[in-house]
Order: sequence, then C-alpha cells, then structure tokens
Amino acid sequence: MIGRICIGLSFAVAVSLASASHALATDDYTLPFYDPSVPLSYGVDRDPRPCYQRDWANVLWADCNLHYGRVYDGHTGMDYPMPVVSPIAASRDGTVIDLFEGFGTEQFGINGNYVLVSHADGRRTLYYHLAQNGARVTVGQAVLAGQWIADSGCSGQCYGAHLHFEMRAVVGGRWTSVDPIFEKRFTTNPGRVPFLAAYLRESNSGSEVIMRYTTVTHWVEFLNAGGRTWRNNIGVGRVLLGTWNPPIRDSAFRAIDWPSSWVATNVDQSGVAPGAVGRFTFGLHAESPPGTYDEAFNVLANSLRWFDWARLGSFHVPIIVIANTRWGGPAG
Amino acid sequence: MMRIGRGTVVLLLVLAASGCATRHGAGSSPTAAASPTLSAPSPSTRESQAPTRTELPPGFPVMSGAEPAKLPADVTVVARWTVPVVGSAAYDFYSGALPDAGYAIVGSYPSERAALIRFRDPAGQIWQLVAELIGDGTRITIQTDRP
Repeated sequence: MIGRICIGLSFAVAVSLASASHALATDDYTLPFYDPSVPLSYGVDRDPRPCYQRDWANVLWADCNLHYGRVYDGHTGMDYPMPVVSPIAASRDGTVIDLFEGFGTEQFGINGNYVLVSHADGRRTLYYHLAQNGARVTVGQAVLAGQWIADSGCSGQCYGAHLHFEMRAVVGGRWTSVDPIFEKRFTTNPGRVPFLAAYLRESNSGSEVIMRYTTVTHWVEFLNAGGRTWRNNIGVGRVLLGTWNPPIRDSAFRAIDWPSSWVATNVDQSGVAPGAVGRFTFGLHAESPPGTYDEAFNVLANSLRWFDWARLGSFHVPIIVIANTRWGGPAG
Repeated sequence: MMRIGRGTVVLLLVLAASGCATRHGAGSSPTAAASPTLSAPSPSTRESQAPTRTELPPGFPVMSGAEPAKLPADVTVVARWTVPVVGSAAYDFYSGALPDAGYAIVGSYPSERAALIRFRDPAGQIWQLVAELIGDGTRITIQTDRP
C-alpha cells in the first residue's frame, strides 16, 4: 500500500512539475503513442536553410550536426524511438485519408508505410515507418484521439526503429510541415500521451472490511496525467473503472450501482482535464463467504485503451468479508 | 585519458583491417584492440598546439566489413569508418554490442538518415556514436559528447 502511494505520488509530482511552468496549449493534439517513457529523438527543423537548424525551443544551431532531443538538419517531423510493433495512436479526432502498409521492415525508400489522417482544424497528421501490414484502420474511417491506428516499424529510410510523426498545415497555399511543439498544438505543453493516470489516494486506506450481504462505498482518486480530458457522458472514450487481472471479469463484489458486471463505475465528474484529479466512487457488495479477497481494477477509455496499470500503482482493493450476525439468511 | 604527443598525431584508431580481412559472422564484434592503427595527416606546427585527439576507448566493438574513413579536422572526432550496409543494421548492432563490451548506453536517438547513441565508458566519460547514411553505406563516427 505504501509503495503504491509512493509510486503514485512521485509520478504525480513529476507530472505536475513538468507542466507547471509552461504556457497554455492552443489545441487538442496528444502524443501519438501510449508509453510515456518514450523520449523525443529529434524535432522539426524550422529553418529551411541547409546547415541551419532552428529547434522547437527556437534555438538556432548553425551547423549540420545531429542535436539529440532537439533537431537535425532538414527534419520535417518528430522522431520517437520505440521497438517495432509498438502501438501508435491517433493524435486527434479525424478521418484516415490515405495509408500504405506493403513495405517490409528495412525495405529502403523514404517514408515507408504510413497512415495519413485529416483533422477538422484543417491540419493533417502523418505516421511514418510503420510495420508491414501495420495499419489498424482503413481509408475513409473516422478515428478518435487516442485510438490505436497502427503498429510502429522501421520501413522506409530508417536508422533505428522509430515513429516519425508529422503535422502538416496549408501555409501560403501549399501543404507544409509545421512544428506542433513550437506552435503549442498539444493539449499540454509538453505534449502527453493520450491516456495516463497516477494513483493519489482512496477511501479507508485502500482496503475494506465488509459484513457479508452488505455493501460499502469505496472511492479512489487518480491524477489525469495524460493529454485527454476524461469524460463520463460519451460512449466511445468514456473513462471508467473496470475489473482487471484478468480484464472484463465478472466481479464477485458487484454492487447494485455498477453499470455492468465488470464496470464498477464511470469517472464521477463529467470532465477531468489533464492535470486535474478524477474520482471514481463505487459500491462493493459482499456475497462471498467470510474470508480474504482482492479485487483489481484498471481505468479504461471505453473501446479505446486500457490505462497503464503499473502507473496506477497496480490498483486493487484488499477485502475482508466477515460473518453477518444480524442477517437472518444463510450462516456466514 | 591518454593524450597524443605534440606533433605526432598517430591515432590508435580502431579500425578494422584485421576485422576487414576476416569475415565475421553476424553479430561478431572485433574490437579496437584487435585492429591496426590508422595514421592521420600530419598537422602543421600551429595545429599541433591545438587540442589533440583522444583515443578511442579500448576494446571498442567494430562491425564486420568496416573500412577506415578519413578523419575530419575536428579533434573531438576520434574514430570513423564505413560499413557497406544501410538502414538500422549499425544502430541495432551497437545497441547490443556496446553494453556487451561494457559501455553503458545513456541515450538512443534513431531517425531517418542517421542515428546517434550516447554511451559511457567504464571510466565514466560519455561519448557519441553516429551512424549516418553516406552513399550506399553507413559511416560510423565516434566523437566526444556534445549537445
């Protein structure tokens, strides 16, 4: 329990510190993957001159060298190192307007396999170097921010497996790559992965003693450490607390207020912005015989993605069921 | 760190003549110690007063098929060679070979035309390995750490 709290709090503090000093974002893009440990390898070169590089922090480098974490000369997107076949997420709601997935890994070319998504704000996002047959969408398909759309790879011109994420906008009448970091296009600055939460606290020190045939109310609070706002009033993407280990498991402690046999509750608030705290309140009803139990839960963006359970401090509720001496039913 | 004597500039470069002469199987890693030296051009007197190159760390792994390449004037570049492969082969090789040889990777930065790996030698010094597309091969450069 202590370990869970320490992990959660330290992560929450780190996220808060990282975001505290930055300006407000202007749009609602998120990083196009789920693993928050993925660093930026190189960003967009905003200076068109050869061997002059202007990075996302507006630093000018008058050379042709690689500047790790910053920029390399002539780069049009953002490179993120990741093992092949890592899940790639749509950075924002949109429609898939083109894709190619026929190249094998290491087949040399330029961009390799890709998915191109058009967004309502007039911009487009590109996801390059994908795995062979790595697209999980089709042309014309509507996608939601954070939706798993492809698997990463190393197709095309690729010196080490990575995702090349590129944003394009019409500038001066033609499509031009733009820098989403410098333009603050992410919902947070710096950008965050779409779905991430950090454990903060819960009721009754995180465990429950339940008299058999009765119900108790439990709550847990998580920091929204991702880039998407949590909502409880939408279908796809609704943020809920579901059973875990294994997921979508019928719970023996389902209370009458649960939306289904494996969904304990939706997030309490109608909107939990990035950096805010979401609470999940749910009942736990004991039908089981007296004994010691453990119920594991994880947060799910409905039909999109389970959250990283480890980042939730491996959230679970130890439960002790005791005999009900007041109940006239079966002996406890 | 050993420094090269004034006016001398003989670099004990890693490179690979023995590694080149012998066919190694995939994943083999001849090392700097097993390779002959490569001489750099003699500097002028004035240049000799400038900072000198340091040596490549001993036992540094070298890919099969490596051919020596000319060093630039920049003395922070301590070794350079080319290998007849393109793509991520060099990056993948060094991602495994560096830790195996006792060099801790402190950062990996792949991209389209080049990859950079920052690594720490057993003495604690941080270096950079740059693998970049040159023609139909890959040029490997070892240099001291820089932003």
